[in-house]
Amino acid sequence: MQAATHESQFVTLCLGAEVFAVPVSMVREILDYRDSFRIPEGPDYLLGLIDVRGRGTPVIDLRSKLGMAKVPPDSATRIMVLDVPLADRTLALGLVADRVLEVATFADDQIEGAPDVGVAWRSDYIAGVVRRESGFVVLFNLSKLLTADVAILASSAAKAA
Amino acid sequence: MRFSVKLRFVLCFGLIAATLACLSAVAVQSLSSLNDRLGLVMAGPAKRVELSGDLLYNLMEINRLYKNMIIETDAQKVQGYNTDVRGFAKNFEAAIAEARNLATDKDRATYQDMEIQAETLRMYGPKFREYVLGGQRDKASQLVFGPMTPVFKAIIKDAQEAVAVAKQDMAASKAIAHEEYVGTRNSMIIAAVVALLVTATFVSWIVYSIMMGLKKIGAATGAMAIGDLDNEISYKLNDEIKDLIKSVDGLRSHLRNITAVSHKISAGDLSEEPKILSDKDVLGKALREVVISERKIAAGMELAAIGDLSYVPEKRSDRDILLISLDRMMDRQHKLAAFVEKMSVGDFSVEPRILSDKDTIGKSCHDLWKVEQHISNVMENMAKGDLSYEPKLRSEADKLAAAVKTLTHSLRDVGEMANRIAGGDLTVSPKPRSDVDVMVQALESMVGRLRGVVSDAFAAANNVSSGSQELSANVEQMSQGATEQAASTEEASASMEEMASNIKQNADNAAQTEKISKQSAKDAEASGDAVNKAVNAMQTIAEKITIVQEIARQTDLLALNAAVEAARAGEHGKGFAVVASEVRKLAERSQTAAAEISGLSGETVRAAQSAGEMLAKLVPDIRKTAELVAEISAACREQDIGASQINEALQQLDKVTQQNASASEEMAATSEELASQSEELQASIAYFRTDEADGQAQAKTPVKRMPVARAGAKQIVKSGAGKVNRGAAAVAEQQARAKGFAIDMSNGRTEDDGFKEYA
Repeated sequence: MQAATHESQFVTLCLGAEVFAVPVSMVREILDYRDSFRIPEGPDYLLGLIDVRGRGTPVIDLRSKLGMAKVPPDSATRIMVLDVPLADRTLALGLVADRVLEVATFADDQIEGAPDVGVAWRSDYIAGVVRRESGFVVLFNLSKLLTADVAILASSAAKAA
Repeated sequence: MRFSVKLRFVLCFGLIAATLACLSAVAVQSLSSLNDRLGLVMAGPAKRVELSGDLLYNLMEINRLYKNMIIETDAQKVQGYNTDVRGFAKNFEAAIAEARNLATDKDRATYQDMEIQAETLRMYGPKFREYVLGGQRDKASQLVFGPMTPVFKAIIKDAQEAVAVAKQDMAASKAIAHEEYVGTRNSMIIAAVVALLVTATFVSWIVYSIMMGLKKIGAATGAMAIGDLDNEISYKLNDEIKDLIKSVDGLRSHLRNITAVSHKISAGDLSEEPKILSDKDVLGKALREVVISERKIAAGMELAAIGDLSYVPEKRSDRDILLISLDRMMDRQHKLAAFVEKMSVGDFSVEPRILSDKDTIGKSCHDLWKVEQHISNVMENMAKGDLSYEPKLRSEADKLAAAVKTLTHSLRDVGEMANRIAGGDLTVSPKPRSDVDVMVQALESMVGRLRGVVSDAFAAANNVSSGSQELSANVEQMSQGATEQAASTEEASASMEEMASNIKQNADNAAQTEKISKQSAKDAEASGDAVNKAVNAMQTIAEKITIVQEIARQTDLLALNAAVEAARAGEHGKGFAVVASEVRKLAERSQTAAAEISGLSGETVRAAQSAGEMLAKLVPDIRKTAELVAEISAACREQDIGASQINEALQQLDKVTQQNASASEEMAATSEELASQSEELQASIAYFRTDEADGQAQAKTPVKRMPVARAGAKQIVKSGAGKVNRGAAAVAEQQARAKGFAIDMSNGRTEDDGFKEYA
């Protein structure tokens, strides 16, 4: 660990064969998948509420959020409880991932920008892409991923709970 | 329709009556028409003429009274005239009114004018009365002779015109009446003439038809009276005359029938039955009687012709010559029949009578009677055995005498032949004279039989002597055979003992095998239980492994969380992060190991289960094997017993063979004795002489030899049969005990040779 090359730690997770990463600072806890309390009239990707150490926490299906097909939960399915820092407050919510792999360390110069495909597309949730021998890892920009409306919805659900 | 004479008369008179009625009706009608017309004239024109006269009279009276009133000075009388004038005026007006009502178109105007004039006259009336009663006579007379006079004249003129018109009407009516009268008269004259003509025609026709019919009948009866019956009367109308003709015709046809029947009778044909038309038909009855009696005679003669003499002629009167002679003929026939009948049953007691020189039947009967008596005497002598009588032939055709002669001769021949046979001469050959010659046939068959018996007996004696020699040779062969049989029986007994020892060993081995197989079955069952237990244990292991897997997973998660915590702690958590990653690796390894164990245990369970199933299948097979082995050992024991019995049987066979040998020696002695006895028999048969006796005996000897030899062989078989049967019974017993395992190899051996092998 030298000052010349700064490093950051991420928790990597899988959705199918693809690997994504979340900054470890935002991860509070990783739980086994459990059934959540469904909230009526909520958006599709909001699975419901779960109890995390005495606090009601909204759970979001990451696959639905990213527009991927739903899969039934199995023994490797996890809920990753996150503390997402927003402008004025910190948002606590759970993300459902197919698998949580490990705590990984990436050097800053390893991280590349979002791919340019020549047209404007919704790529702002991607903080960067890391290329490894085993494949690519997409780094989430969580505060962007959970765009304002989603965040407000999630927080309002939390308040109602 | 029947148009009878009666009907014709009725029709004719009816026609006349109808014509009369029509004429009367027409006359009455025209009279009434005339009457009506007269009434009309009386009520019309005549009445008007009368009324015109009436009114003129009244008018004249009024005119006269007016003048009288002018002239008269006495007021009282004037008053009286005045009253009279009123009465006449009233009548005058009434007459006018009545006439006007009867007026026709021609005079209506006249009457109307008359009424107007009368009105004018009435208007003058009061003025005139005023003048008269007032004494103004001048004025009254001026009035009467002045204005009133033309009125009066006008009325008179009118009245005359009216009368003229009425007279014209009356004249017209008269003319019409005259016309009617003339028409009626003419038509009545014509009708009367027509009726007269029609009636005359009818009547003449009726009279003509009746006369014609009667004439025909007269002609027909005249012809019948002189015997002509072939005239047919033709008449077309259907009336009473036709009925008469019909009855005459009936009479004619009856007479014809009778004539025809009489004709047939005279020709001998009695088939027709004359008809009797009524009780009073004497002719028919007489004819029928003739036919009946003729038939009776014919039937009786018919019977007599076929030999039935039951007919008895009955004479119808003393003069009935036919039936009297018939009666005598029948009597003669009866007598002849009685004689022949007695002759036929052999009674010669009645001698037939000869009635005249020409009575050939009587003569022949007498001759017959005499001959029969003679023959019966001859037959009596022959029955007593006297064959010396020689019958004489009365003519060439006397067959009876010839037959008696032949009978005598043949009886003599038969007696001679019987004598020769008794002397031992069988060469005689009696010849039957016909197919029905029973006596000579019997003699012939007797000689034939005797010859056969003698030659057969000769041949049999020869056969017996040669057969007994052959028998002694065969018996020797048989004793040799018995010796050979004894030797081979001993050999068989030795090999049988060897076989019995082998069978015993087999039985022991089978018993041991049985024990071992039973043990195997038990062991296999125990293995099955052990496998089941192993399967259960493996399943338990698989369940426990899942717990280990869960623990490993939890540990993995905890390690991940720890790594996250360590990472968040930054530099301070670095050491902890290492620990956490190590723990995670351990957890992953234990998870992998647990998964492998789980897979292995699953496979083991499957293998153990299939092993258990196979064992379960194996156990019944092993049990079945044990049972089969037990059966084999039982069969072996039975075989052992059977072998020892065969041994016993063989020993008995040996004994029997030796007995056979001694029996065959005895048989040789017996056959020699048989040969000597057959020679004695030949000597005694030689008494009878037959032509071919010797030759036959020589020819038959070789043929008869074989049956003798065969009979000897049969006896030998019979002497040994009891023992053979005993041996067979022993085999059957053994089979029954072994329940199908002992095989009888000797049974049906020869039959098997007849079959081919195909596989």
